[in-house]
Amino acid sequence: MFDTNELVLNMGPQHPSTHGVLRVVLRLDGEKVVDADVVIGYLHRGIEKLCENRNWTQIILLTDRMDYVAAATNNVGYCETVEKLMSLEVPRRARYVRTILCELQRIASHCLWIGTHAMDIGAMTVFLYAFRERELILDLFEEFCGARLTYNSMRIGGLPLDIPPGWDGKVLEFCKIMSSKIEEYEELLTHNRIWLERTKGIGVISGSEAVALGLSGPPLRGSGVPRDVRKDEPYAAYDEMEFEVPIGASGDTYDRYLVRIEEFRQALRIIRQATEGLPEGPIVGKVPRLIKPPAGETYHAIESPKGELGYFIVSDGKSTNPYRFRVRPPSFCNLQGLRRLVKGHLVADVVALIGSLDVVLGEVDR
Amino acid sequence: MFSWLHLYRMIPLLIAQIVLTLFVFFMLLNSAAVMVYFERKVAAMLQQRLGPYLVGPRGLLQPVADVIKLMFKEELRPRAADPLLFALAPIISAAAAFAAFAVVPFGAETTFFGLLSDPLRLQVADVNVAVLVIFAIASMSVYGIVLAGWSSNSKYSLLGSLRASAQMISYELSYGLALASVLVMANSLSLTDIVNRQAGVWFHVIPRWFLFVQPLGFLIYLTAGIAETNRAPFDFPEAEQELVAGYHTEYSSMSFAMFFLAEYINMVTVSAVATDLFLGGWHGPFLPESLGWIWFLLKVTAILFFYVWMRWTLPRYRYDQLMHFGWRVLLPLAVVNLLATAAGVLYFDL
Repeated sequence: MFDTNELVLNMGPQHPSTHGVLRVVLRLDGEKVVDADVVIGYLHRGIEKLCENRNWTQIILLTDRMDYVAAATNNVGYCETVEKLMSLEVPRRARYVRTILCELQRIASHCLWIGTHAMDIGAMTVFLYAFRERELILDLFEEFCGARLTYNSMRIGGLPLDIPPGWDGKVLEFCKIMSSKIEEYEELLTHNRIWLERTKGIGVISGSEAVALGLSGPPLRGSGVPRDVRKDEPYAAYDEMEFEVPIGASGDTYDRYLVRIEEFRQALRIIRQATEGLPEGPIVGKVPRLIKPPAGETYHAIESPKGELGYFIVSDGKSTNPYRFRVRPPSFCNLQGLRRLVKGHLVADVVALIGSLDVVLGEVDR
Repeated sequence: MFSWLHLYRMIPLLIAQIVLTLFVFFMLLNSAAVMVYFERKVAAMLQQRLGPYLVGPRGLLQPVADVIKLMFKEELRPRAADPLLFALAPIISAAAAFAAFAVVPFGAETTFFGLLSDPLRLQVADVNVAVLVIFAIASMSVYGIVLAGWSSNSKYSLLGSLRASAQMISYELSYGLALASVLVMANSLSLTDIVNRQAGVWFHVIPRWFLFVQPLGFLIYLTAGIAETNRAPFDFPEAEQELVAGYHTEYSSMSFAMFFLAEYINMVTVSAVATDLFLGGWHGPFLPESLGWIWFLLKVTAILFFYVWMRWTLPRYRYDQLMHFGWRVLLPLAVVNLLATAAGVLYFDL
């Protein structure tokens, strides 16, 4: 009647560590995962369809709600796609501020990742430490645009407003604080024996396999593939910045952890360069009153904290809303790797691996 | 011949003994409450937050509020659960936790400032094989966990209780061997005798605690003690991030509170036994023998702080890694430690 060898365990959508509403149906042999079925869609709000019925400016606000822990990056990605479609020139100052915001957002998003990832593996204190620093970034964003989570902080062709006076000084001060705090996280985790045993050799994936699965961002770089949109197809002001793309060697959870830790440092490096070299000038380019891109289609990708975030937009040239709006969300594509990663590991590793992919369900389901 | 006079003379001692028993029971309940507050405050300190501060002065009444909340919760039982075992499991856990403390001495003999004619030992029951009794009863508490997981008829609970049984097998041997090396040194199974063997000092400075001759044994005991009490980093049976709440997923209200109580009382017991075995019990400088319980409390608090500190600092092991650790590291170390101790006692008469 029943298969006595396997236990089907339904993990989620209500579970403490599936990062929202992910559901994973595990088939277990003892505690060993034989197979995993990843079920998504519990947070589907139809954002892509919604965007096709809003005008081009209103869409910025909707992109906030996809990866809600990295709203500014989503805004930048969308605005740049439309700018590409309309061949708009963005002033240098606006591109610099975008770069600062994107990197601040990367740190905020990675703070959330390190907190939840460590908590999944049982180290609770890191979570509160990381949120303490994330709070500082949210304060900076609040000062810049008034919001703390869904920023709506970009406009097509530039920025809604210039940075407040003294803001750049505060950003530099934050960089100083943050670089010492990264050491603090590392002290708690990097050489911790338990942390090493829990992450080394867990969820190993080779570079070619990661490419085949369509992984991007830290999960891909952890496997040794030096793919970073910021370097390969620079956007905003990344072509003027000096930074390195950290890559891992063995492609396990520990390497993905190290890659993200190094990304903290590189992000700080970029923020320092951009803030110190912030040029004067206008913050919005020459944008027509009515935004109505010419007929055509375009794909533009940026490096969000989770990976390659791409927008594919089709405009019919007649209406004030996109004809087709499609997002390539990094979380969705990275989550595809989960089934491959968890096979043969234990239940305890499943939560570690979900955390190591750093998915946001708002972006997976849209 | 039975003498009424003899019985009459026994009465004050008898009353004192009963009062003491009730007192210990009451204080154990309190210790769980204090531990909840202590743990929350220490965790808050480690994590740079405030911890409970709204209920009562400095949040001191928080444990009371917790208990009242739990009492007013509805008692739920899954329909598919085994009613008898489901009700029995928390009782076994809590009863075992209370029973284990019965043989733990926590102070020297006292006459309560001359109230009693014969001195009374600060201990509920003076058993001459106390160490064995504690060991036996502590193993019983695992039955509570295993039965809870099995009778809940829930997958998470089942996995939790399976982990508990796997865990028990892997740490209990080394736990027992760590105790054995102390027993060899003390040449007795009675905790009171073991404590009294640790009175005095070496070279006028170092207390004659077994900690200093058995540092390895102490570490093994502490590590195994964490596993025994299901605390992080060995809290697999209730690993929140993996198994929701492990074996007590389906429990609510007071039956959940019983598991909670058992966990904290077990911690107190393990720390108290560690104090008796390795830290010289109630012996310490500056205080007279009759106030030795103050030393005892301080030492127990120090060990409890260590447990709390570990929980909020370290990530969690995986349960198969604990088994590797238990069998491949802890057990050989404990065996070597025991053999070395035995050789030392035999040839050097330590």
